[in-house]
Amino acid sequence: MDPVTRVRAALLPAGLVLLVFAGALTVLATGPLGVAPDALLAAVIGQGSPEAELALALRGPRLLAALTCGAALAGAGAGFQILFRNPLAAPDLLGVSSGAGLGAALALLLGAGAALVQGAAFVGGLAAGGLAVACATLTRSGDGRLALILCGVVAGALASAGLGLVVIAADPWSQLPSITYWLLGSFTRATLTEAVGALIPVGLGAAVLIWLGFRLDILSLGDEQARSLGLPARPLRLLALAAAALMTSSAVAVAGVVGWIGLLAPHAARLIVGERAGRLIPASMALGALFALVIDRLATAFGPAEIPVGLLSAAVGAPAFLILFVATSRRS
Amino acid sequence: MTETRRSALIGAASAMTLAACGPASPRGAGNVVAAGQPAALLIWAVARDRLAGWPRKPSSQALAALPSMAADLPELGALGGGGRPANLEALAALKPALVIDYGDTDPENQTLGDRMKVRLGVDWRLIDGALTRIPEAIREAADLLDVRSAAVGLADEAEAVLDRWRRAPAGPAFYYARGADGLETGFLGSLATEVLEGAGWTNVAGDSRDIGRVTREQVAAWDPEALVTMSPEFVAAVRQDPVWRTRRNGQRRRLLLLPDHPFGWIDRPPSVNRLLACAWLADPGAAQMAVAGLTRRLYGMAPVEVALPQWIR
Repeated sequence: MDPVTRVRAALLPAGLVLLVFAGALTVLATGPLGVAPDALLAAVIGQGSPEAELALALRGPRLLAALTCGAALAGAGAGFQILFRNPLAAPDLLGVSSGAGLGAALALLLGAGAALVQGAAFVGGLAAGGLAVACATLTRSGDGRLALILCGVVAGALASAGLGLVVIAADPWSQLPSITYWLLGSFTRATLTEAVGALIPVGLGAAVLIWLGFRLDILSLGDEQARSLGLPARPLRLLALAAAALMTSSAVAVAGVVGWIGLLAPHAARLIVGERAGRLIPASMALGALFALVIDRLATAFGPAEIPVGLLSAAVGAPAFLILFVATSRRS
Repeated sequence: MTETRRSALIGAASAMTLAACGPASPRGAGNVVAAGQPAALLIWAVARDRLAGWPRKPSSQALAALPSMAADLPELGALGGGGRPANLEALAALKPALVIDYGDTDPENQTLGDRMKVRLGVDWRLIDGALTRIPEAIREAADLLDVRSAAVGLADEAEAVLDRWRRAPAGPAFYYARGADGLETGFLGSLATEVLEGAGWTNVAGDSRDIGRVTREQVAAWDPEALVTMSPEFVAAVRQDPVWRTRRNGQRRRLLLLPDHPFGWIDRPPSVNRLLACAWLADPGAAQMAVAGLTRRLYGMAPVEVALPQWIR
């Protein structure tokens, strides 16, 4: 590696981290309460006014939820794209988001509180992902990637059908708006406990994916190649899938269904750090967190009513993805 | 397969087929169909023996509070609006005498009524669902259902309640927290908060329309004196998170839980049920008798079962 490339390789991750840090500070320092940054700083060290402490107590969990969910969805998306050698692979590939949506909607239909709704979403997401993996395991076709994709479609479709039934059964005056808003996504409902709670499974999943690193690169070449290099392909793939599903399910449980981050961030990261999993996954997570911060800020930029982040992520993500696609194709 | 198992399977399949064909004509049910839940509550209040079924069956908790015939009525689905849509063929099979809709008298609802009248071959009447026109709605429904004299008392009582409600003492600046997380709200002028605003309470959620979601920080920036909710789940969430009750100056914010059963007091659905909130807001300190009497007339519930709003400590 020549010196320029080496310096670039060292600076780019640092630049990404700095960018996320700057974005987080901006989000933390701005909001409808209009507390000055120095007052906020005083609140951080426990000497702030009641208003500054209030602002900190409200912005902190929201910021943490946005960072965690953005990073989780992007990291899971990168993992899926590498594993399946498919640039269109996204965190919902195994039906995890649909399953989480079904779990949350069912809990809302039964009148559960916020914590139970999150728990149901988490379990629903993992159940859908587990169903897809279990069905794919039964097929024993080839190296299993196609089977996983097809079974993921089936699990997602079943969960979507269930969600449709729940929507039909919901009270249009009370439950239906809650279900609709939940599904459209928001970082604002997370409390500090919930945001910190999501960090644990997301951190665990990310650690597994990053640890797998070069093994994921090898797995992406196919099971035979992996086995010829001495890697236990099937267990490692299952481990990677479980990690990505855990991250996705945790993010959806906290924020609802927020699309595009898991598709867009890995593509943008690939332009910056290249294809290797060991660098692509952390870079994707940083960009995913940054993207989540941007859409979260946009969500409240147009009046007091919050625009659902799931809508914004599509409105911003789809054109951004197109721009990236054009840029990549021109480069190649 | 044994004969017994085969018979059981055939029986189960027959039951499923019958269930799929639509609601059987219920024992003791009337012949007037409600287009939506607001209309069902209006018919229930005016002449409950005429109601053919519920567009959406009330919750088990609500049914336990209502007279037993409420549980006997089938769920027919809704003719327009949200919720499970009705099976038109099954409705036609009930041979209803009339369909009553109760809500906005906008062109959309009128067109829906015209279309349904043709499709079902049944007379369809749309009654204005405005809160301040509840007495007129009761009288109009009573005329349509041939129970004018029986409904006179309820219409007069509704008129008296609304008169007192209009003259109610001004209330606090409030934020209406809907849903378990409390972040869904009715903005200023929305149907969801009409009951409170009409009684002189100030809705802090301005600059938008109807119902929407807001952020916790936006609620804090509005700094309402009181949080108003119908969700016990939200009350539980507030108890666990003191930030909800912290005002900008560090003082404690008040929290009001309004009853949600058998039907919501503020909206959910927007029907005659809102009269209960009007009666309480007119004189919060001495509304027990008025609320009890109104509950009996509207729902047929015994006064002992009546819940009142609570300021949560």
